[in-house]
Amino acid sequence: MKKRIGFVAMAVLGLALTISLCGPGPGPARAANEIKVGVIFPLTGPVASIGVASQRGVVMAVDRINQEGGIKAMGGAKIKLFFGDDEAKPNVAMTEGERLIKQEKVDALVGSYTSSCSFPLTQVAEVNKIPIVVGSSAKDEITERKFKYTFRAELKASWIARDQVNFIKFLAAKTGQSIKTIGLLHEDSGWGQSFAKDVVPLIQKEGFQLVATLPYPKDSKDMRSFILKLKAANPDLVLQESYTEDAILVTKTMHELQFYSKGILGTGTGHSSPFYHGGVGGLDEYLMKWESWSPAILLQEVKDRSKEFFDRFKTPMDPFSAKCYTVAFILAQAYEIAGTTDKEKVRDALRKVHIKVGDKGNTHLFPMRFDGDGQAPEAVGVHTQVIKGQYVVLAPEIGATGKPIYPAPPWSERLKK
Amino acid sequence: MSIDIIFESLVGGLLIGGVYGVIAIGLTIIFGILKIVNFAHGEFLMLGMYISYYSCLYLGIDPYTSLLIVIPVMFAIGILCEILLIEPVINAPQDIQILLTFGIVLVLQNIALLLWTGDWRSLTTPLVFQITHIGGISLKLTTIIAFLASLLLTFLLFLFLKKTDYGKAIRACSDEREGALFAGLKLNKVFYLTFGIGTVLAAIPGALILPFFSVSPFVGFSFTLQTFIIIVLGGLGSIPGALIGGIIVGIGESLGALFIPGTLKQTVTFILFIAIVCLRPSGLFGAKLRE
Repeated sequence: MKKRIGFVAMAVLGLALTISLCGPGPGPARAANEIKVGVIFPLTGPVASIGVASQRGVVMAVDRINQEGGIKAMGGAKIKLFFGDDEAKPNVAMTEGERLIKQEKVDALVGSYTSSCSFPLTQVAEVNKIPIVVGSSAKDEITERKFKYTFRAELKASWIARDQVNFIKFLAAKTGQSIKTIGLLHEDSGWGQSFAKDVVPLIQKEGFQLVATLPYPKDSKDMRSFILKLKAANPDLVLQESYTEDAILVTKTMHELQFYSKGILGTGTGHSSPFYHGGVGGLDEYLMKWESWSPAILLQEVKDRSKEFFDRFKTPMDPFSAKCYTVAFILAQAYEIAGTTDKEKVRDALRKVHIKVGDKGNTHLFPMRFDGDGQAPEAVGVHTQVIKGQYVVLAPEIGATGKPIYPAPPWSERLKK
Repeated sequence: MSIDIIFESLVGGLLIGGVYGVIAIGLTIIFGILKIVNFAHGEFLMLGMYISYYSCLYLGIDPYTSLLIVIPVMFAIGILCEILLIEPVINAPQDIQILLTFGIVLVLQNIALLLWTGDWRSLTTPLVFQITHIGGISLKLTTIIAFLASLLLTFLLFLFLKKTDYGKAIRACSDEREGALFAGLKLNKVFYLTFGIGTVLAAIPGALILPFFSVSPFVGFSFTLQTFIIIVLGGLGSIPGALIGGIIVGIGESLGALFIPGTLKQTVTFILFIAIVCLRPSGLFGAKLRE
């Protein structure tokens, strides 16, 4: 009896196994009218806050796109997102990319944030012929490899240096002040070093004098020595590039050492972060900065989406969520143009995408379209200044909401803390 | 490079070094007495910072008053950790212990990430921005308080270990484990107490540095490596060694940043470390716990 039951059990098991093997392979089956997009950002690790913000931008955009009827050229197909976490580590970015492509079988990719991750990730996409739209990664080489499937909705890192030096000239002209000497303070990771490499020759070419060049280790706990050196050099303008934690530390140290600088011009990430502004409690008054985006941009789309973002996520929209919001719309327009998930056709469609300034989905002050290398050729950043605790847009002049204040009043005359 | 700048840098390095030292004391005690390499030390610092931060935010108190909350909470967490996690591996080979404490690092970091997100948080109460001028140098008031509190803490700990019964019991278990057992000391209770104290000694500096450092779930790790260097430099298990090691590292980094291109400033720490360990392999203040 036992033997018979055992045999029957084995037979049933064997049958079940055979049936399951004939069924659909690994990965969820595609719903009839669905576009699968993989979204990879650093959701954990040191830049988690930026990765999460980026992902939220995509999520909010896709929810809106789906709610408003999906991709109409594909019968209202909805976009379904599949998330990956690259932990800001290049090898993890690659494995996550492979996973989303091979197992989840996504039709397109969005991501990542750090250039060190986007660079290999776009490589994985290119090899697998998957279109990928990159948001905030600025490393020049990402769109210099003659890749066909990579599209970047951001300017190249070397252009940031150009933007900064042009702004310094603009500042001098607009305020009628003389700016001759510059002190460069930057963290020394890959991005900081490449920024320095780009900006130093430009500064010298334009006739400014570089009186201090101060790279510092990114995780420094103590910035006193660097600020002391900067104080001794006493430049007309401090050009700074920092991430969030060090930006806060530098500003607080400048206050502690009563280092009064006529002007501080920040570059990207650290100073853009709302945690910087919130974390220095008013010490950033008169600080000018370049960033890829600012909530102070007076486009209706920006105003509406910022409010929506804040209501939903209880934290303000930042350059990363704004950028990735637009990235999702870029991809959506490509699907409207292509009318199919066929990857080659989508790639070709991406080359035809054009979202103008002020159009729905564009949160930036430049048009979203791409050249033959997948680069957005008109990409430009935004310069703002903190005046009375509010951000004022200084440049590009098309979006300016106020005039720059330079030189800044000394500490003793400012809002005292 | 004027003498003023060097002096300012020196003082800054001294003050921050004192805090590094206190962070190191907790780690050196745990190693000296339990013989456990606790990689999660930085994460206890991080927890102390968060508890202090939220106490300040929601109760409107300052970080020093928040210690009234931080200390008992972290002491309890330390004891729980010891009972549930450390005790089972106390006699296991060292690689097992390392794996365990490394696991604690990951768990604590990700619990913090879940609870409080990856965003950087800083205190912005008026106290944070107060500057004093001493001898022509501008210093943050909170840095001075942190340094003095660190010295006080070290002194109190020293008294505790030298004069109280509990302290003597801890020293006995460290110096002569088997003898202590024979004398009737409950070894595991001593270990609970020690781990609890070590954890608190990681958390208190957290509250002290909150006014000038931002907190995120991953801030602990950047302290951990440096703390290990300090305790080896000062001598494993030695309290004065940890404090002085911390001050050496603080001053070394600060002065180093003045004279060497910024990126290389940590080489000063490492060169000092290698030099000292070559001259005295057991660190500045000897091999075993000598309190």
